[in-house]
Amino acid sequence: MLYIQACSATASCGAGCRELQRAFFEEQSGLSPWPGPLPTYVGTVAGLDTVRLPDDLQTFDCRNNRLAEHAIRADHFESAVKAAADQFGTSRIGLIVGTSSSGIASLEDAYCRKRSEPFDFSDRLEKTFELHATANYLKQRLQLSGPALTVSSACSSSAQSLVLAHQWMERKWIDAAVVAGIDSLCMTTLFGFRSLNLVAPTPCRPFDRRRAGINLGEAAVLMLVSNRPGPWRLAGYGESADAYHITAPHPDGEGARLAMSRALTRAGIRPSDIGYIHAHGTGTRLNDLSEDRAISHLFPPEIPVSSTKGWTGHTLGAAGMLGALISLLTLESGLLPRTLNTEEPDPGLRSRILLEAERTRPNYILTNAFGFGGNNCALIFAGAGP
Amino acid sequence: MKEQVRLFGWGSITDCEQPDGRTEGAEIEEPVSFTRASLRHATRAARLCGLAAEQALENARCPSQTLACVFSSALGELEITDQICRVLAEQPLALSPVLFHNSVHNTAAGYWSIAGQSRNPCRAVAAGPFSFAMGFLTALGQIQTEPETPVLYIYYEMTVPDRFRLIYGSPPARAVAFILGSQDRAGGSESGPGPCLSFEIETGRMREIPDPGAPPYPGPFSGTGKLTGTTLLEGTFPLSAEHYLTLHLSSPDGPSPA
Repeated sequence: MLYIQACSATASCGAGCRELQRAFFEEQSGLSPWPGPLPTYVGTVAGLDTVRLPDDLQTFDCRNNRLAEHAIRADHFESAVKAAADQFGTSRIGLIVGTSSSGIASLEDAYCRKRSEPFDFSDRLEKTFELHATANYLKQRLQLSGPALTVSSACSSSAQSLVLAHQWMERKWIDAAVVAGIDSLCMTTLFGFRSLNLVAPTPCRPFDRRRAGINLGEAAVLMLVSNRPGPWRLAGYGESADAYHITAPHPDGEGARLAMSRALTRAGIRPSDIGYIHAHGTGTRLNDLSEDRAISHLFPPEIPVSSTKGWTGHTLGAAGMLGALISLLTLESGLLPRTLNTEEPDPGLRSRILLEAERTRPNYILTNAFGFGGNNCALIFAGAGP
Repeated sequence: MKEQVRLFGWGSITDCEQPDGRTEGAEIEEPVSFTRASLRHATRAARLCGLAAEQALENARCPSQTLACVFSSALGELEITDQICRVLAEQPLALSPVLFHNSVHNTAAGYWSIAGQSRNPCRAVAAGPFSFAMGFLTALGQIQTEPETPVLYIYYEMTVPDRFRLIYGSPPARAVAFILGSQDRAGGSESGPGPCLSFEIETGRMREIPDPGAPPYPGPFSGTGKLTGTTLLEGTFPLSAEHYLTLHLSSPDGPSPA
C-alpha cells in the first residue's frame, strides 16, 4: 500500500499547501494575462526570478529547477525527506519525477541568444535542459541515492509517477519515494498549443458552453510516500491508452472510462463509493466532452465533478500530481471546489459539474489526468482508512 | 534477491548510415503496422521504434493488442526539439502543430499505441545515462504488478542534431525491443514461454565499466551487458551511480539459474 506522508507544492494560486487551500476557500484564481505576444491567460508562479538555488548547486540554475526549489521550501519538504532517510536509508528512497517539457525553456533561451552552431553549453545540459535534469537536481538537493526516473508521457506524466512508486514499493525494490510533478512555462508549449488552436484568450472555463480552450500554468508538487501508514493512501489507480489519435481524445472517452473503471476495480469499490471527481477538465471542447462521456457512462449522475484549471491553469506534466494534491486537501477540508469561471455548463454534458463549492466528507476521491498520445491515468485517494 | 520473467521476443534496428556517418535525409523504412495518416507525420524515432516492435512481435508471435508498453530514451525527440527551438528563435507564430505534437517524449509511444491497438498502460521514461536499465526496471515492475499482461519494452536513441555532437557524440540511431512476460504465463504468445530472464538489483558501483571515456549517450548500452547475438541481455547495466541491474538468460529447459 502506498501512503502519502508529506506534501509540498507551489502553483500560481499559492505556495505551500496552506496557501493553496486558502486559494480554494477564498476562490482566488492564479491566472493572469500573459505579458508575451499571445493574447491569453497563464498561471505563473510569482517570485521565481529571485529564487536562488543553494551555492553548491548553482550550475543547475534554470526555471524548472527554481520551481522545484520553490516547492521544496514551501512546506519544509527537506525535513520530511531527512526523517525518511534516517528511517529507511537514502538508497531505499526512490525518486520519480513527472514532467512534460523539463528545462526546455533554458534551451529556447540559448537558441534565441546564439543562433550559430555549434553550441557552447558544455556540461550544463544534463542539469538544466535534458528530460532527467530536474530529477538530477532533486537527487542532489535532497541527497537521495535510490533509483531515479523521469516519466514523460505528456499530461499524464506525474500521475503515472505515483503509480510507479506504488509498483516499486510492492516489489520491495524501495521502501519510500519522493514523487514529483514539475513543469514550468515555456515558449514551446505556449506557441505549440496555440498552433493547435487550443489556447483560450480569456481565463479558461472548463465544461462551460462558451469554453474556448486552455490556459497554461506552471506548478511543482512533491510528495513523500512510503509503505508505512500515513495520513492518506492511494486506494486505487487505473491506466489505459486510447490507441486512437496522437492528440485528440477518443470522442466517447473510451480510454478514459477504461482507466477509471480499472482504478475502481483495483480499489475494490463501486462507482457510487466515489464522493467527488476531480476532473482533468482542461477547457478544450473535445477534452471536456470526452471526459464527460466517460464519467457519465460509469458513475451515477449525482456524483459531483469539477475542474480546478481555473485556479492554476493546465500545468501539463505536473497536472497529475497537482490533481492528487488537491484531492488530498479536499479529503482533509471537506470543501469540494467549484469549477471556477464556469457559469453555464455545456447543455450537451451529462455530469453534475459543480458551479458552487460544496461541503461534504467524501470517503474516496478520484482524479483524472489525460495526455497526448492517448495516455489516461485515474487515481483514487482515501484517508488512512481501516 | 533474484527474480525471474520470460523473454518472448526481441528486435533490434540500427538506422541506416551514410558514408560520412550521418543519417539525416535517409529515409527509414516504413513500419507496416502504421496507418497512412501516422506515416505522414511520424518522426524518425517513431518509425525506428515501430520497426523494432514489429520485429519483436514477429519473433514472439504475440498479438500487439495484449501488450502494455514502456518506451525509454535519454534524449528522445531531440531532433524535433532542435527544429522547434529554431522556429521559436526566428518566428514563433510559425510553429506547426505537427512539429509540436511530435516533440513530446511519448511521441514514439503514441504512434506505436495507435499501430499496436493496445488499450493497456503505455509509458515514456528517461533517466539520462541510466535510461536503458531504469526503463527495463519500469517494464519489470509493470509485469510483476499485472502478470497477465506482457510488456513491450523499447529503448531507443537517435542521432543528435549537429550542434549537439560535441556533447553527445554521433553514434547511429538505434532501437531495441523486448517482449517480456510473467514467469507463470505465456501472455498470449503462441510460441510458448521463451527463455527465462533472471534479474537482480544490486547495490554498489559496477565492477567494470568498459569505456569510461565514451560520450554519455547513447552510452546506456554501456555496462558489461551485451544486447546482440547469443548473449542477448546478459550482464550488468547501471541503474544509477550506486545501483546496477544484473540480467541473466537461460533456456526454459535448462537448469534454473538460481
